[in-house]
Amino acid sequence: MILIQPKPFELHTPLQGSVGLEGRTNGRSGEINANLSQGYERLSWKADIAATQQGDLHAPDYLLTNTGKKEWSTGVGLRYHLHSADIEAYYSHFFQNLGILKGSVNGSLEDLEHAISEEPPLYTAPFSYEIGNPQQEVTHDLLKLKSTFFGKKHSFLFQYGFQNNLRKEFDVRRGTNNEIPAIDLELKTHSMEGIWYHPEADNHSGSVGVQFQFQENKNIFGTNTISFVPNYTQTRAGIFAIESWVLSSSSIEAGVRYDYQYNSIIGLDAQNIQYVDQFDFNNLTATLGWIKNLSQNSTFRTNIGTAWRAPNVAELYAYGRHQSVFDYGFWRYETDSNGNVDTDIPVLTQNEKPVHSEKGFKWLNTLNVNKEKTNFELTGYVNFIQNYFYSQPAGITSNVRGVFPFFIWKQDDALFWGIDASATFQHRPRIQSEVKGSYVWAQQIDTKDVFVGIPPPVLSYQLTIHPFSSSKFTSQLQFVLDYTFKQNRAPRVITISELIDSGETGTDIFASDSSNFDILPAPEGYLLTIFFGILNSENFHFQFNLEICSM
Amino acid sequence: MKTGLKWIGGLFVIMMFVFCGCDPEEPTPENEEEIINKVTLTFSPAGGSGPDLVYVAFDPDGDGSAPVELDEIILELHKTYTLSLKLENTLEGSDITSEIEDEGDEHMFYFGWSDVFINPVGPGNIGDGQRDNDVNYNDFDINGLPIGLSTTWATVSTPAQSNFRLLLKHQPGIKSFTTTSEDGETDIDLTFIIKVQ
Repeated sequence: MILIQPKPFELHTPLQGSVGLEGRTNGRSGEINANLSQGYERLSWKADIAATQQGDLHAPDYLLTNTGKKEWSTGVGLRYHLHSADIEAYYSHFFQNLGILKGSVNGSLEDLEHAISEEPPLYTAPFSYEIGNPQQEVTHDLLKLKSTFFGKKHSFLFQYGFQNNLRKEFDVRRGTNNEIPAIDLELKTHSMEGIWYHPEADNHSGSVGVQFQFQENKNIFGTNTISFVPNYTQTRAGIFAIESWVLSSSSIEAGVRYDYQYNSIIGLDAQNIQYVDQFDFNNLTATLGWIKNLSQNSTFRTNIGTAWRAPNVAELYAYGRHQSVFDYGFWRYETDSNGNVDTDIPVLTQNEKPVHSEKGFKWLNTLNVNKEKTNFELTGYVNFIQNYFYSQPAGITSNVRGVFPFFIWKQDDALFWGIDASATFQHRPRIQSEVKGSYVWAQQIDTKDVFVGIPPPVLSYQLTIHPFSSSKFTSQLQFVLDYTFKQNRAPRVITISELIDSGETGTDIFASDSSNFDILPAPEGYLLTIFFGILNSENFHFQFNLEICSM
Repeated sequence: MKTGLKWIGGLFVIMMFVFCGCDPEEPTPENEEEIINKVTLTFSPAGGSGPDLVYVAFDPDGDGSAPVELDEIILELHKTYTLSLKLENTLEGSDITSEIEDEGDEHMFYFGWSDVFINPVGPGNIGDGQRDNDVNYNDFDINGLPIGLSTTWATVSTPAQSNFRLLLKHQPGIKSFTTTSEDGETDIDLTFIIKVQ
């Protein structure tokens, strides 16, 4: 769900508008946008429209065929202001057609191997604005009503939103199927929210609220392929309270929230046999924070909070090939006592194989020192996640397309901790620099296994100069050194040839070790140098950008 | 406490049902036209000098985790065969062969083997730089490029055994006299054991 935060409405403003044009060399793109607004004593309105067209992007040495984009959007809004209330209505429409690099699509492990080694990618053609398969088309329609009522010391907010999303994905397919989407989904979301900001006491303020959300997902018939995504409705309700107290040199914030989620599912398995399930999740979460002013210019914050997440549709129902791997959701496989995975089963239900929601317990501490010319911040956190969802390699299978590794969704406890640090220095009025670094450590608790895709440590330095600026003219020069370290806690490497060999010789390389793997080793550390400049005036905008990457 | 909370949750759900009131719509079954799960190889001896030999690769569970089942191919010594291929989706009971034929200008079969044939000679045309190696194609697309649903093979005269690899590539818009087995998306990749005895 994309939430677009529209620009604020202004009362008492004459009719005004602007038109913007933007162009980029990469993709030879052009963007045009225009907006109009007017504010009376009680009423104001605004309207905007934007359109973008972008052709094939290019990498340093070659074109990336079929990476074009077409986009347009429009929105209209109205605001009515009363003595003790404010009412806003907003409607927007968004359309996007996005091409996907054709050479990146692969049907088997060998295709993947060729796609990785092939430079320039296969299917590379002269520059074009045309978008062919694979591509996707997305439409969002959003209607939002917001009203705020002001009491003597308190206020009440009510919000309703409706969003209609259409998503079509076109693959390279045989025959007339090439013209019709392989995935065609409609997602409708209604959401409602009411918040009461209760009267403030001397040192105490807060709010209580309720939230409802109803979502309906529907497969639109006619794709000529069975979607693993079932039709479903999801109903969510939440109630929360958040309070804060200001003490002499510190403040405390505490919140509590209860969520209930109900899902109703009707889907079709690979044999077109219908499956039905209804299940719910409920969770109580809380947060407690303390901010202490250590001195005039330093503060320390600590926060302990819990969070939760329900499994999504892919984690539950994924079934079959996704490019060059196979993926099976929680309810699409069974494991026998010998550890063998069987997927030729009726779709399981929450009763037969309970899946628990993911629960996080996070403790976060931040020290902030803010002096006249220097600013320093250090954050450390520990996050214990109970029932963490992850997919694990479980074997090698084959079909008529060749051999494939397959993954199954599981849940287990995991531990994350990390450190973020940053410091800024104001050297001269027009010169400042910033140093930043971050580190994350993650591990599955039971198996001590590491995860795929955890960001490596980074360290960066940034120097910003404002050579000349006036009320009508601003300029900025930036120099960035960005070092990304090698991820030393990367999973083991199993090459594509090793996977193919394992499938062809019938030896399952995951039988003795089912820990995570990647097909390529983690990249060595690398340095990215960026020069960046902007020149801005009332009717003129210039920007340049230069990036150099070295290992 | 827990039941109390469930009660509150239930109340919310009732409110929402009043608000929109629905279970999901029943999905309409789709015809699965993507999957090929059965490939039949029919070796017909030249001039009707014997019965057709039929071998099958079959993956009954389609996208499931069970492996594909492959027959062992056994041919007679010193004989010429015409190999016809049939592709099916048994989950739907549909024949994909004619689709490949109609789209011959986007599809091409490549073959790999060793030691078991005297004609064509060589290891086959799979791999980079191998495109021009001998394979006796009997069918061609509208541009005069080979397809491979029908091919001719002559076996050696002393017993031999090797792998027999069958590769079907989908090469929309790029199939040419030079495209190799490494170009395009794989629709079929099967490696049989073949014996000539």
